[in-house]
Order: sequence, then structure tokens, then C-alpha cells
Amino acid sequence: MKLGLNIDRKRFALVAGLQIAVLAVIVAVFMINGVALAAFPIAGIGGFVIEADQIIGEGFTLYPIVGETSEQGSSSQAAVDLGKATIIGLRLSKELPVAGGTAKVVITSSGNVVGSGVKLRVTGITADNASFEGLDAEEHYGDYSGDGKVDASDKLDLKAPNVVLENAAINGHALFATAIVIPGMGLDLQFH
Amino acid sequence: MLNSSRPVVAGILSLLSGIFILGVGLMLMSLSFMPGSLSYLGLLEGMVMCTLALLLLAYPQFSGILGAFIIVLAIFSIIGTLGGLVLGTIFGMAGGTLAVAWKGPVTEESMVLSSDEDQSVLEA
Repeated sequence: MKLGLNIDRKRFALVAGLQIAVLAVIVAVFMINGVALAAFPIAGIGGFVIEADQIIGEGFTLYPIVGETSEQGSSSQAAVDLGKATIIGLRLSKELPVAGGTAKVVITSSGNVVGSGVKLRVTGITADNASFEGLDAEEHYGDYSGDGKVDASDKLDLKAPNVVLENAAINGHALFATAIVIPGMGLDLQFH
Repeated sequence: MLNSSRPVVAGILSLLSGIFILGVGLMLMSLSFMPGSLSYLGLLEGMVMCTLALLLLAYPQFSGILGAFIIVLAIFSIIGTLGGLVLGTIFGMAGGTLAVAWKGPVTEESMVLSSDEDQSVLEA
């Protein structure tokens, strides 16, 4: 071997070709389905805005929590868990200071975004209309969450099997999803 | 000759891949153990990739199977860490392919055969 790699060139070409084909299929499936699996770090950026024409959630839970933002090490926030969420008209934006101005990253979807195991940490939710089905708001004493310590997250929680928010805007600091499908995803970068 | 007794280039590339995947996994560590998050996979994938790379260097006789595992893990790392920001996947795929294609330790006999092959190619 001229390069001193001591490899079987035919086997190298065969294996390389096969894995590139497999990778191409996986990327194609991601692009067709718009699937971004789990933990892709939209989370942790802090202070992004999620706007939607309508958010339909199942298995809604809200409780107080202490979390960090890009500006503060710890701040009071609300944790929102949704077993399943359907978001119509999603528009997720984040403003970032750059040299000479501000860059705004905007992620949009042309279809209905469907996510499961959605977890949000937020400092604000606004909606033209919010409807809850079977809303249950309760105060608790002691270690309600069963995590071995008594903190703010044990004191109060809101639960509802179904929730619908119209023209909603959420100021989020973390977004997690076990799985999320974003059909017709678009990413736009604007400079101001 | 480089790679004469063990797949050094494949091992180094695989180790780099593991470091990238583990690095992204560590960056996401604060989120890793949140319920519903799969980013803990990055830590696991990075550690397994580094281990496979070291095993590849320590036990070159298993380069085929270790290389195959490295390729699968490199592709799988897209989930959880986005392939160590893509670089982990690229290095892992290259390292795994080199490991699978490695011809084994160079002996005097194989060097003679190799020179014969080169000669026949030149004559052709």
C-alpha cells in the first residue's frame, strides 16, 4: 500500500459504499418525515419564544420549578409537561446579539407539529383563549413529587387531561421532547 | 510501515469520534437525566466508542467485528448528540471502515506476496 494503511481496497470501497447508502437512507427519512429525535439542543439556549395559532395538549401538568436562563443562574419558572402535543402554525424564534446588531433565528412549520413527551420550562404563557378539560389545581404538603426532598415543585400543581390554547405565545427556557415531527420545517435567519 | 502490526489510523480516528461524541454528551449533561430526554445516550455512545477504539488498538485480531460495531455506533450517534456535531459520525465511519478493511499484521510472507501483486499489476 502506497499510503501504508495496509487495507484491502475492495473491502474498503464496499463497506464505505454500504455505510454511505445507509446514512443517505437515514438522512432521507429524517428529511421526509421532518423528524428530529430527542434532545437536540434547542434546549438550554434560553429565552426563546414559541408562538402558535393553536396548541392542543394531552396529559397537561404544570408545576413551579427553579431553573437557569441565559441571563440568570437560577430563576423561578414553571415546568409544563405534555404527554402529547399538537401545534398548529408553529413559529419558534430566538434573538441572539451579534457584532453590529441582533440575529433572529426563526423555525417554522407548514404543517401540524406533533410531539410526545414534551417538557417545557417557561416564564410566561399568553393566549387569546385557553380552555382546560378536567382542570385540577392542588396545593400539597411534604414531598409530593417523591424525589426525596421538599422544594417549590412539591407545593402546587395544575393538571388537566386536555388543554387547548388559541394564539398562544410562550417564553421558554428549555424544550425537551421524546419525539417530535416537524413537517415542512423552515429555518430563517434575520439580521437587524 | 504504518498500520503494519495494528490498525493505528482506524484506532485514532475512532478515538477522535468517541471524544467528539462524549464532548457533546458532556455539554448536554445537565439535560441528560431529565425525564424524556435521550441526551444521556451521548454519554453512553461516547464512552462505548472510546472503549471500542482502545480495544481495536489492543486486540487488532478483532478489527473486523470491532470496526463493524464502530460504524454502527457512529451512525447511531446521530440520535442523542447529532453525531458529536457530525464530526463524530464522520470520524467514526472512516475509522470503522479502515478497521474492517485492515488486512491484518504484515508478515514477511505477505510482504513478498504484496510485492508480487504490485509487480503483476505493473506488468499488466
